[in-house]
Amino acid sequence: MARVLILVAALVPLFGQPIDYSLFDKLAEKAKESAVVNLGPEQLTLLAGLQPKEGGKELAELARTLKGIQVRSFEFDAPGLYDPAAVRAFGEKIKAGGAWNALVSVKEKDGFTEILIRKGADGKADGLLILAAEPKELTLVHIDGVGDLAALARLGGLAGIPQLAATGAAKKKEAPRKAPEKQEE
Amino acid sequence: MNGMEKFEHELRESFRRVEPPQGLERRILERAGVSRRRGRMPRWMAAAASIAIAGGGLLGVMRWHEQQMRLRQAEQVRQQIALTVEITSRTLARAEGRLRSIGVKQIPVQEASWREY
Repeated sequence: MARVLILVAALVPLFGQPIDYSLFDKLAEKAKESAVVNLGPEQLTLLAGLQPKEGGKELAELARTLKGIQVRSFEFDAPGLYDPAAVRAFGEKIKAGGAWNALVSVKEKDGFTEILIRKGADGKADGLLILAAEPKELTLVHIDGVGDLAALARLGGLAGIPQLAATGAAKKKEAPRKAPEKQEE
Repeated sequence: MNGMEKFEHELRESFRRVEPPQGLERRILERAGVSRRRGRMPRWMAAAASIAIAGGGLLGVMRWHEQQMRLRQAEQVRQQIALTVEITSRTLARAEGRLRSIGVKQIPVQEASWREY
């Protein structure tokens, strides 16, 4: 029993480990263009101050469930300015923690895309991570607190936020359904 | 005493200095002082009122400024969320394109969304 408790105690930090973005932060200097978003709970609570008529109410509602948003998106002048293997290792390390599962994994000879979701203690998805690596582009999107792209999609058009175009998520109107995770390669 | 003398006598009597009753001056001054005090706000009260008015005004300006700052910050957050949605959308569209090229019709992101907001 004591061994089990020790094992559980050892694994708990792995689940709650914050993601280290330093690998990406170092790349900003090398990038031709970069977009970085760093939003924590404190910033997200500010959305409550937006005008309701501008869609601020819906945004504020989502902000209550959001814990953070991290985006690192870089465009490089030429291939080889970052190490794809390091980025892949970054993704593997996150998955190795056990909390994240790959929903979609697309591998190509010159890049890959992974969509990971994290299940919370209650079994509901509470985190979404998109990692896309191409020879001249690298993107990381981490949305903490929401594992539902449809929730983001519903924000499209509200308060000047663009529509989430891809994947049909924006079209979502039917009741959400639970499905097993899929991994496609 | 003829009429003229009588008139002169009466005139003199009229102009004769008559001493005021004792304490009249003090009483007049006292009354004047009391009425002056009744009409004026005490200095400390006036100072306190001025401070209160100035403080209230300052507080109002500070609140307004704070509210404006919060609105600006909220607008910045909104812009960052818009950027996030834009980048997410672009990235997913590319991934979808790749999946389509290998025969998968749609990224099953909706299947991750079993949480209703």
